[in-house]
Amino acid sequence: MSILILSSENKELEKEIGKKIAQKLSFATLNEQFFNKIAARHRLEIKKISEAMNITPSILKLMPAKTWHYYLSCVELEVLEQLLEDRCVCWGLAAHLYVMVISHVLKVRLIGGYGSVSQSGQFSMAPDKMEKHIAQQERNREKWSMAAFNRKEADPGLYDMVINLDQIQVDEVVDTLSMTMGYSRFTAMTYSKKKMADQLLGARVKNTLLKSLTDIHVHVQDGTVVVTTSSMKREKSKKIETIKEIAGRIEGIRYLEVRWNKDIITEAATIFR
Amino acid sequence: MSKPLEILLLDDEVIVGKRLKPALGKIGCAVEVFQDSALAIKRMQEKEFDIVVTDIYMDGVDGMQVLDLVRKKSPRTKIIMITGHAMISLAREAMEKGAFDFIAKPFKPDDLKAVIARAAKALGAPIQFDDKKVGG
Repeated sequence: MSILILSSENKELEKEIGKKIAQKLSFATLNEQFFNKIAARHRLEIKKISEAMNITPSILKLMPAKTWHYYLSCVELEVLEQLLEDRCVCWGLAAHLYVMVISHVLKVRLIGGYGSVSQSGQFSMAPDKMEKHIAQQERNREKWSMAAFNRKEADPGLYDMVINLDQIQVDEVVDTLSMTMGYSRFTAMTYSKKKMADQLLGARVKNTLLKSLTDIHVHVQDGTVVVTTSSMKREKSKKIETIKEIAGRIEGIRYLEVRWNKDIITEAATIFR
Repeated sequence: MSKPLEILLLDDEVIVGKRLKPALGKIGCAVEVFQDSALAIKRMQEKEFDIVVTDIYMDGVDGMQVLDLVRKKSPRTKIIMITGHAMISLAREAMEKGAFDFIAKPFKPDDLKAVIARAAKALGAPIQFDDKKVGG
């Protein structure tokens, strides 16, 4: 069976559609409520998880970049664990940004639909103000998704389908997506399951390393893990050794390679100090 | 003793057949190996196989065309696609056309054995294979 991931700035309709499809297909749901479990498992504050999913680290340092990356890695790890199970409708967790290569995941972007939400009284704003509010919200999300995953969340190229909720009714969307989920092309297969397992292994390695290190990028193919990092030249050996030691304890790694780049900015800053 | 599973294995790389034929033989499969898709298709006209394992990118008739042909001629045959050029669109296309499974190369013989065991079960002819040993 397959997985459906919804992405939208219209949180009300996203939730309504997600719930209806899950009910229709007898699928599990995965959304912000899952923050409770993530918080419990990683001993984090729920409020801070929610913050990390919405704000981007800035010079004001509402949340330091190191903490922000670690919180996001906890969400990614736990969400991927859940997605291994299939038969799931997921929204509100930005999961589409880290399962791009999984063929049994149907990724859908929902746009518009604010008219119906505002009519229901959930949005009490004048249309012009609401337009500005939505545009600002979209800019913030783009900034967040670029900082977190180097992808623009609203880019249609990231999705299998983009649905305009101004033109299509909620129930029609539910029917269309429920039917699409039944297509054989979204069936889980050995290839996609292995890709998912690789993603999960990568998320585990990243999460473990980010507990104590920064600037960690992980790529996994068929159990071969490549960790890319940077530091000042004099810290190179120590950082590589630390990564090998920490990651080496993680189960499931067939081969581990660490690639190092010189941190030119910090290096330059040290020279001119 | 029950009838062995009849498998046709088509891959233009000789090493693939050499490696997989004995591995599949160990779980009670009768395997015919082909490197040339035209010859494989000729053989499939003569005999109905339980399972066809085919590479995708080959000279002449490619794996997707083989998939179409087998689906038309023998709907009960399970087709397993293998490729060294796996990508999401190709995997989805294969599944939509009716492939039983899609595996990216390189893979271990045990990975294929696990898929063969699932295909055998779907055909109503289960075989003994401990797929818990298979990673991924």
